[in-house]
Amino acid sequence: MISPLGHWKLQRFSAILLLFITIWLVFSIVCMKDNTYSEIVMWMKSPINGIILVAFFILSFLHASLGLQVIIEDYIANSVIRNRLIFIIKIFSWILSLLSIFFIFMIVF
Amino acid sequence: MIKKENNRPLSPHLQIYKPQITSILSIFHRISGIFLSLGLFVMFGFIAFLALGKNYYVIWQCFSNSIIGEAFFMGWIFALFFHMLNGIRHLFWDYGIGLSLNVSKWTGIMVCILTLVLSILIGFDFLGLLT
Repeated sequence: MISPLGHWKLQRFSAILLLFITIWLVFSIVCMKDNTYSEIVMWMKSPINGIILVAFFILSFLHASLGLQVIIEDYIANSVIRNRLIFIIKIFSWILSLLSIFFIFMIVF
Repeated sequence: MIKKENNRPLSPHLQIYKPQITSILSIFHRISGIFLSLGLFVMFGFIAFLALGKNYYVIWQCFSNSIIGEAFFMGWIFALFFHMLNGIRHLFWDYGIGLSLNVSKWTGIMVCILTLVLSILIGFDFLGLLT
């Protein structure tokens, strides 16, 4: 369980890192629009790209689940439904971020 | 105890506000955040199809080359730039910078203009409409 202050700090910390990572990602996506399957795999095998991509998925799922949690806390009045939804979102984001790391490893190795 | 918790006040719901640039952008920050969560799920799909191999990657290409895929990309890039630029505004606010009515109004307008310019430029470039 993260404290409210920890939640707030984590949201800002991930936001600042994602700001730089996302600029890199958009630039990469635009540069690779016409790339073939093997060219994309080659790109991912470069250590810098692979590491930043892993960081992108971890931080994005974290940032998204923290943000969605705040929205749910603000707009769902029923505390049972609210807590269940937050729980589902947390589990879902953990599973998807671990799976995405697994997939990146599958592509690279 | 449970009854007391259920009576706790929530944020004012959207209908209560008189629309102003500051409140509209705040609402869109949340809406774009929800949409970007969906976009993240789609990117997860991209990584998954890429990992499954060449034969499955064709399925992804069918989606990304379709009108739906291209429209989704334009929506994603628009939401992304808005959320990023407005997020920078939020980060400055966290340090107490730019909180006055006048400054927050003008930075809000700047966010709107920059979002439009950047997303149209990069979105159109990606779709090959610029060259």
